[in-house]
Amino acid sequence: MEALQPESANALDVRHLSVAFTNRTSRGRRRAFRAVDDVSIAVGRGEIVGIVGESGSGKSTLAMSVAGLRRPTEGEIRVAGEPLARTMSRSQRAAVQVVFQDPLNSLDPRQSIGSGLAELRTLHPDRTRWATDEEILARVGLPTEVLNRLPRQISGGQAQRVSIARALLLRPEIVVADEPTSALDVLVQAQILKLLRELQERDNLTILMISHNLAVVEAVCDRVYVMLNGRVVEEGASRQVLGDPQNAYTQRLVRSLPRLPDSAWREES
Amino acid sequence: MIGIRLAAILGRAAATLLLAVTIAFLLTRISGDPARAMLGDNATADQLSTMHAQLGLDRPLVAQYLSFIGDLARGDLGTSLRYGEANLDLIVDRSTYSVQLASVAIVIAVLLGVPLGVIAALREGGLVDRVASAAALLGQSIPLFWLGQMLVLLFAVNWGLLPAGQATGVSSLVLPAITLAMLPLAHIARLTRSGMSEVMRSAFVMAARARGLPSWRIVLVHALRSAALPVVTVVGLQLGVLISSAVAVELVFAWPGLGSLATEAVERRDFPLVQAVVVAGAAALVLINLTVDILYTVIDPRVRDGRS
Repeated sequence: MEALQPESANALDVRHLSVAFTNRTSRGRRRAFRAVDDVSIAVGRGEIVGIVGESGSGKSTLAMSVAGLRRPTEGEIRVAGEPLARTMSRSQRAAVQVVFQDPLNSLDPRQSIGSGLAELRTLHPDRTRWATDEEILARVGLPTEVLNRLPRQISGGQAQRVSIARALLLRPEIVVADEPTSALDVLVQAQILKLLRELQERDNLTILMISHNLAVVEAVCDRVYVMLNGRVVEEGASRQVLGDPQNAYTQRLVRSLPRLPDSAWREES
Repeated sequence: MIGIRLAAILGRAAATLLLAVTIAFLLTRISGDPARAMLGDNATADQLSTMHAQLGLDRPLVAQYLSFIGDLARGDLGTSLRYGEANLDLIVDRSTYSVQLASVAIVIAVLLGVPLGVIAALREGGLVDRVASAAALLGQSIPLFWLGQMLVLLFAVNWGLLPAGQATGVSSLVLPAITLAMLPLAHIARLTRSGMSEVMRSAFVMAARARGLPSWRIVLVHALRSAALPVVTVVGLQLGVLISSAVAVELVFAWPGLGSLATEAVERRDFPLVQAVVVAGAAALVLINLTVDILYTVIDPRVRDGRS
């Protein structure tokens, strides 16, 4: 097996990104709503960067835009220096991989794990040749037996490992992890976080992690952006931002959001 | 597990068939004296009692029922009073036409309804979706006998493009099959649209898009397979609806199928034939539902494992 990441500049550069939705008022008038408003972020190679904020802050919309699943209204997204086209090519899609919140529902219920990997190999033969199915499963701590299983025949934690394996197989420039542990129980959460940390340290994997769990972000992320009403209100090293928040909203967020004792995560990871 | 499920499906089918057959038997008895219905109000007592004896109606109801069930078990559906032939032979003969018509109709309904539903779901809220949804609603609302007559007027009488009816060749199948397909087509299109629209919003479809799968593959290989299960059920159920819809369509197009046979039997007061056609129709419905149940078990692994 080779290393996952080639060397170069930032894995992700988001510049002045805005994403607007249009809905109708009770009087039937069209109204534009900016879910993401002039946001700029950067993620260096091999970094784990967190995006935190309460529900509706725009963090998931930002993540979906980076993954090409939501079209931006304004601004630019560059992956490894290359601007993402409005209609992303297959190789651009492969460069940004997503690990979704609900691992079991993010796998086709009628497709075996092995068949899912085979499908990726057919679609991206050049990107996937670097590792066999057995090797990629071993990298995320799964036995080869899961290849013949359907998603309903594996646990939530295993399903999330399969999602991560699928993402790794494509040798992405960046993995967008949208609340990757929130649907899992605490013990499995810790195992998945430990795996992500290992992959970052061993393979120089770049991760943009969306989470509302500050303990998760503090334990795993190198840097963090705090979002409120579609805007970034504070950024910096995660320990600094979450340990000594400067912005009033971040201070409120740190005080109000559920947070496990720091030691609980550190012992597991 | 699958053996137990199949046994349960077969048991349920047998019970449903017995219930349907019993209702068919009772309905022909409680709707008046069949002998008087056949012979008319001027029939003499002697004529009535001869007819009663001929039809076995002079025996107690339970005895009649048991011998009816016994005959059915031996495959004996009785003899038609009008044709003087075994009802089973008549039904088999006419069924060929009905099966031909229903098969072509259901193929038209699936081949047009599924793509229409998929396109509408992919363009949700757009012009195509609104036009397709309106067309589907219209298709479900139009009375078949009216639609059939309009098609005859336009394509047979005015433009002379297709025959107006009767089983005279492949071309004579076109208009009745289109008419009969309208209802299931609309139903299948609506169901496919709602199923696909739900699946297209699901996490695994988003994940497939994020992995760079081409749209056609996401739609045809992943999403449609998930949305297909209720469609399979409806196709099965619509085959049942087709059997009853066929009565009107066969009348309009003078199509010599089971529907026409049933209408003739009622008009001629051929009570054994009416009873036989009802039993055969019920058996066909039970058989269709049985096939759908088994298909369901094969298609959906969760059903196979008894999880839902």
